Amino acid sequence: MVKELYQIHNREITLNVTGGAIDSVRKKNIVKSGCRVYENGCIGVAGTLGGPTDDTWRAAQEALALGIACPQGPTANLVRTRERGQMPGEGELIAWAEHILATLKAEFPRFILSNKIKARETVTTLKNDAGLDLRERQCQIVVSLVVKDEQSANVFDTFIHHLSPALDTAAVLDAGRQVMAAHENCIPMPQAQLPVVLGVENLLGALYDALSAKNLSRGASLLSGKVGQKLFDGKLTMVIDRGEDSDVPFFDSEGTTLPGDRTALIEHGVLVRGLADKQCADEFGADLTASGAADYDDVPQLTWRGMDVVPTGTLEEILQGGDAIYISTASGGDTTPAGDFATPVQTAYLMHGGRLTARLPEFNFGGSIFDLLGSGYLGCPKEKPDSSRVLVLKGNIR
Amino acid sequence: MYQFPANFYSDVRIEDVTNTTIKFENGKLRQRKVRTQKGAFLRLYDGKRWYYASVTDLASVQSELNALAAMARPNEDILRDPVVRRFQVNRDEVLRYQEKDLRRVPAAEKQAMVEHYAKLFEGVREIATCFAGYVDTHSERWFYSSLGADIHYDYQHAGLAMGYTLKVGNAPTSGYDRKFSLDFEGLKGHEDYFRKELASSLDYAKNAVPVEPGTYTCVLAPVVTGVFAHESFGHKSESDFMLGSETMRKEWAIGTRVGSDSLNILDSGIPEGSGYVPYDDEGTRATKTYLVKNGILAGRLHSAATAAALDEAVTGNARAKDFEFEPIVRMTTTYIGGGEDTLEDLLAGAEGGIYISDLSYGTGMSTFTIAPSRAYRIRGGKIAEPVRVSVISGNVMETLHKIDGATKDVELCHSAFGGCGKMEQGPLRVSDGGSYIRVRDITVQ
Repeated sequence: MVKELYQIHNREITLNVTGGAIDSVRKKNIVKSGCRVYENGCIGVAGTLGGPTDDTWRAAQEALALGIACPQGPTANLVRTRERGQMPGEGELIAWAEHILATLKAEFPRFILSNKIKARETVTTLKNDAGLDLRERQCQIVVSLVVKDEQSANVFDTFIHHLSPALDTAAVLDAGRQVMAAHENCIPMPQAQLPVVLGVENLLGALYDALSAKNLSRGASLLSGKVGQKLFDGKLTMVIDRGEDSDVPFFDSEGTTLPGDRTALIEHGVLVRGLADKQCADEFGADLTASGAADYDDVPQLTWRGMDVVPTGTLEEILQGGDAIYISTASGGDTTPAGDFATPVQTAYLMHGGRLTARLPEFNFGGSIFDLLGSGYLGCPKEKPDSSRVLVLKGNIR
Repeated sequence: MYQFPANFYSDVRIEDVTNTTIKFENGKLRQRKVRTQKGAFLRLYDGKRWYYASVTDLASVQSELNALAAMARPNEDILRDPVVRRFQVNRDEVLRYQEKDLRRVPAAEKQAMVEHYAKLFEGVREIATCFAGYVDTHSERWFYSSLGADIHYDYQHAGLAMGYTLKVGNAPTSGYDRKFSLDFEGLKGHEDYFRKELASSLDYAKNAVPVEPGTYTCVLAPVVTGVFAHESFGHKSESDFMLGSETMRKEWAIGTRVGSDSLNILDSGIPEGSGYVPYDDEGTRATKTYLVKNGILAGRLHSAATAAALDEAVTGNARAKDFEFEPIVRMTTTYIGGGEDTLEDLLAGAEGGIYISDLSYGTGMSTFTIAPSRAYRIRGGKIAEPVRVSVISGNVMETLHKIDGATKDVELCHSAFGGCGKMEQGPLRVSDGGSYIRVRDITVQ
């Protein structure tokens, strides 16, 4: 029998912003523990808030009797630690946030800012008595501000979203200034069919289902039977990335790690493998992609976390000096079973030289994912507007 | 009882929640979990700023309260603060779910029921992959405030979901059917329902053709109407979005016409179901709030802070996802009131339009969206061939004026799975509902 402890420790200071000022301070410091027991190809799990107790371990051992299969057993003989980011003190965060809010308010008095600015530290550990000892500590400063034009009757008009490993005044102010200055400059939709800069998360829902090794193997994926085939543009390489710049730990919740913290799912347009946790790997003979996810008290399940696209150049290089339409808010899009993606676009900006320059009217965007990531795929920029990975695509604008 | 620090307003919300999660995937047990969490959320207010803490060690509540007070500035006039003056001081115990407490049903019995349902789909050759899932929640909440509020209430629900991917036609098609109950017994005996839904999904997967994108008149089934009510107008009624904006206050003045005479939209935490909230997380008693009455803007949803800012009354809509979060303005059970038409009337007036019978999800703010999971053309006053639709959408304020028919009976829709998301807090359990409605000029893609 192998005993394993999976712990998630969240520490967070959150400032609520209302009407451009901080009106609350929230502190959180919560430890969640999952006890896992492996024996005879099965796993038993039980969890608790705080540290584990004898009762938690006993419950995990009793859960073995449920017969939940885990033929590969626990990961063994691996020790590694990674630390990223800096957690500021409460006073430091408040002073910094007040400076950001005051600066943006002075420069753009017609906009009202609200929502959250937070500093969070997540320590994830996975240890067992088979020699596994993994620890990741990640701190992030999250600026998530809703921007409302005082003169508009909309619930909100746009967002400032910025993620960084430490307090970064210049980057946050630049993000805010770009968005608000562009928002003040409203222009008609350009006549020319411009490329679109779209957040990759808009397509992830469809791609996750399609790339699951389980769905690929059972004929339940749009891409079933196509492993090894070139399905997309040669510039497209999609990976699971657990590297320094990703927002996930270097190990998944099963303790699986990747060589160089990265593995390809689609390489130069060719489907090379599907997402697989240990259960998928065992049942379908798939390569492990470090794609097991679990809350502290779960049996791990398949996840898309860590999915990313490998950049192909800078925005300037991809657009070759031309303009593009940056889709800032596209809420509510979906993809049909055949792979036809469509979304209304609530907020979009004209982009010139990689910078937002003007606000565009609402429109609808869509296309087959095979076209968007095929003949319509222009590349993936190194830059992350709104701290999110984006793709440059040609699609249908209506 | 707690010693609430002097010269502040403060409150303590304690939650004791037990959840069960069971999942069979392709006939095999993949998850069986019983989770019990106890935690508390503490708030302290000095008239200028709120200070919050979330704790899991209930023995530390008093010391955490004192720590929050040390961060704040004492205010001798705190009782005259307009926010504090809006807090109700209720003392009540509402325990409705002790007799059929889901915690007393053994996990093995729950597992056996899920396994029974999972076997319904065995041998269906078109199914490529499937799962059967069960969730339940039993929660008790206690609320105490420095003003003397002392509330204790319980809530529970259970849900069953069957999901599958069908290997028919030219692309795999997913289906997802679910049942909701306030007790365990209510989930039994639904075999015919799940078989019938699977048959409908198979027919849809085999025969649905892509829709020609455009603008259509749509008839929405009650489950879709409910999401439409929630997404199209419910979020717009959450008054925290209005703070600080004179323009919005003018645009959203009570008494403004926003729809036809027959349009009524309401929110209430009173009906039992996933939107049942007898007291909100500031201790305000549930009420029934008309958001739109006879087409006229009649009210909006409030916490004490937003009610004070807009000089209106609290509505019982300050809700937190769980003990890790502060209450913010949220919906409870949001629905569109019924009209006078029959479904046949609605279909007859929607020739060439689209009937949306079920959905995957919806979103909404200024533009609402709904992703249909099953949609059909309307021809000759009848529901005709199935069509594949990615998303329907429209501008909220324009679309409300375009509702031109509704059937009489209102159906409230509850769910044990998912819920409403708002910024960092989601999913939060809510209900929605309505009748069949007809809406003109919906963008269909």
